[in-house]
Amino acid sequence: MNTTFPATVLLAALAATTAYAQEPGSYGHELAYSDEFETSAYATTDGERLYRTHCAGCHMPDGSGAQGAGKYPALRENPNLEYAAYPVSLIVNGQQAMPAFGSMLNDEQIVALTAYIQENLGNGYEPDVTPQLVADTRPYEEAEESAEHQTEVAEDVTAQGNGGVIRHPIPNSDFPILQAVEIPADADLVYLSGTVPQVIDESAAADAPARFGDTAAQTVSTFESITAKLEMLGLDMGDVVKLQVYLVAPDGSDAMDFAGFMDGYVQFFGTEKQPNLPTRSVFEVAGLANPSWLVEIEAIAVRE
Amino acid sequence: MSTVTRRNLLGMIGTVAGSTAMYHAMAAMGHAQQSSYTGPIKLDGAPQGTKILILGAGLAGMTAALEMRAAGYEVEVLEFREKAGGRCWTLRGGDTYTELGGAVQNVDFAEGNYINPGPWRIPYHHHAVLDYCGRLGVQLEPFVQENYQAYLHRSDVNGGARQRVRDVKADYRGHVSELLSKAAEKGRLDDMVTEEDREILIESLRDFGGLTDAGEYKRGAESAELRGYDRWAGAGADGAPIPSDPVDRDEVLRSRYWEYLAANQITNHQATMFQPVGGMDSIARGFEREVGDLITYNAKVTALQQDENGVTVTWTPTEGGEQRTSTADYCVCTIPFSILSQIDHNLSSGISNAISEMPYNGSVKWGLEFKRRFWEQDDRIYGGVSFTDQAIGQISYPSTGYLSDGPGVLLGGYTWRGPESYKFNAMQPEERIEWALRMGEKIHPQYRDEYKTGVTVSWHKVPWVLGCSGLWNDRERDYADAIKVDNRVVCAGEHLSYLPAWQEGAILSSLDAIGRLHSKIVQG
Repeated sequence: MNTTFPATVLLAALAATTAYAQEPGSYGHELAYSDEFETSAYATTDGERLYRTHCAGCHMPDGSGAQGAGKYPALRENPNLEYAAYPVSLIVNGQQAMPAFGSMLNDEQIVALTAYIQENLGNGYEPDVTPQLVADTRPYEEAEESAEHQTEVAEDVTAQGNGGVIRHPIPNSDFPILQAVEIPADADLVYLSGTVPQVIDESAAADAPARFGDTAAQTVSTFESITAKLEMLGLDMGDVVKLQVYLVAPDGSDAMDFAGFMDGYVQFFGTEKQPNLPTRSVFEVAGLANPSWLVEIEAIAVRE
Repeated sequence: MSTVTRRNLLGMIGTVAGSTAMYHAMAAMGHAQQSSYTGPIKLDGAPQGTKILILGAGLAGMTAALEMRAAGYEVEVLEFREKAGGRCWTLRGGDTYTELGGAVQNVDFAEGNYINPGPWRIPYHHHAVLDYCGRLGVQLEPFVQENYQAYLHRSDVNGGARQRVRDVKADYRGHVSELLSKAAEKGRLDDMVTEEDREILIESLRDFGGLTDAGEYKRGAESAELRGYDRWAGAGADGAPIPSDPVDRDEVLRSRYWEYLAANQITNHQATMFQPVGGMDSIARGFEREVGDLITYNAKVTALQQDENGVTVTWTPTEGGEQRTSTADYCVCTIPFSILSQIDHNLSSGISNAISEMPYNGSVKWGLEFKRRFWEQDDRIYGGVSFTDQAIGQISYPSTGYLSDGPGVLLGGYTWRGPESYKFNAMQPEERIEWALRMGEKIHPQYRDEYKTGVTVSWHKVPWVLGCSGLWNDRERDYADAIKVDNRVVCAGEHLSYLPAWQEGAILSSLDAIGRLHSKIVQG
């Protein structure tokens, strides 16, 4: 008995024959029947089969999607599928009109399904999906844990709400950055490219450090540029929720000038005029694009 | 306190006995409402020249159109389809249906036969739907839900042999009654019932369960009254009835057939149920007769924008052509959230969240036409539903045209959410029909010989709604935001009710929404 006869072949044959004659004794038909609709069928870990039975109805067998009064997005040649985090999140939790499949499929099945759509349907990506990613994407089941979290947020009297954004300072510390920040789902995130210092001394030679100033001066001019960029977007420094700061050690020094950076930083964050703090990371790097630059800063702001 | 009015009597009952007792008392006095429908809505004092734009000509949209025009508003309706009704829909011979993915089905039913792919039955307590049927001249007839002669089938019980609903129901009732009666006789319930009540209980169980005077459920005149006979009563020499044998208690319990019995008892399925004569879309046609002149068909809405001056809706004709705009002072939007979530709108954040947090469930139905009504002629089943543990879920026989010659159409399956709906959804129509025949013939061996033609609708593939009905990810969080009048726009439909997927939910939601919108307009 060929117990591995693929169900796809049977179904394809079946679909092609409208006037299908029943042959109760036929092993092939029995297999297709029990295979597709009895409980065991839901346990398959074959990614293609999971796609065919769960996804293909709306996204279509070739992943081309469909268009009616609204549309089903195409999964075919879809750059959003290069990294698994996005499709796994949609499969587990659903999105808009798409129902969640998290309760219908186990971690292994979701891994197989995600790997299938990353690799096939004209995508050709190397699957990067893992069971751990799926497990981490699943929502907290324990209501208690969730309730506990809610209480914590509610009792955190120092947390600042700014129309939905919740800023959590570092407990028992006045260091002027946040420990965490929560962004509501309806807010827009705005990513600024890395911003670099402005020339503050035109007369200095092109490669002279004085042309841009020391770390403190470069920090100030960089944040002034960021302020201007945000303004053009209708935002201000108070909307910044995250900074990544790259510092180069000044000539003759064997480490970045962190204190110099902080001197500039505190003129823009946690002031009376602009009390909001962001989350932040600071890195020392070997060099930046211009040998005179000591500072480059990336900012993420939120529009509510 | 010399006089006891009904109202303070209820208060006393509530105080003394708790709210459950009060509810029962209220119901007994005819006070507890089965529907929030309180009769035709009265909207007075519409400001002269105020225009309402209604998106969607389903039951919610057409209810709004009918009532708001009657109130004196200027009304315009935009509808995606070529006809009104939305999910209130009937397929007949000569109809063509193209699902997403492009599969075309040409319905080949005989004259007069039909299937309702969407709503198909109306409970007696859906007062709003019934009232509009009356007002719109939609003729109703009984819809048979529970049929004792229909079948129950489980693939894993008795080698998949079908059982009559009557037999299973009688045996379950009989055995449970016998157990309880014996427990009471032996004094096992004495800590729960008084001695006097114990005797009443035992007497009632004898009556309820078809037990003998000795309290036993077994073959005999009493049980046969409920479960039927090996030879039913007739006349002539062999006219005397011969009782049938009940199935053993352990078998009845383990079969789990009883899981199907409750489906016929829930309030939404209790007798009397109704259906419109000739198909559910008789209701759509009834509304369309009243408000059809207000509707622009084949209009695909692409944007909904509001500001302090009014509402602007952008749409394109589905057959192609230039983008158009419609403007109004206010808007009632009945577009399903599965679609609205993809439309460019500037509704406020609360309702936007609700719109983008509503998955739509899948559901699949089949209309199968057979050369003759073998279920009536061979099985003596007239209307009602047979249940099976197979993926098709159920088979429902037509509640009309009994004993007629010629082809008949039955509902060959009805799945509701779950993995089966996705599997069927992923199939082409002919493949879906093949499976319905395969599963159906386990219950009715006549299927293959008698099959004539069929049509199947999988709601995730229906172009104008992309699903069967709206589901809430978090109703407690989103409901209030979703139903509120958002400046100049209010949303309505089955998805915004506690009666999802029922037409009553669509109409009640619409009446509630336009009532609040009207108040806001009048009060400024």
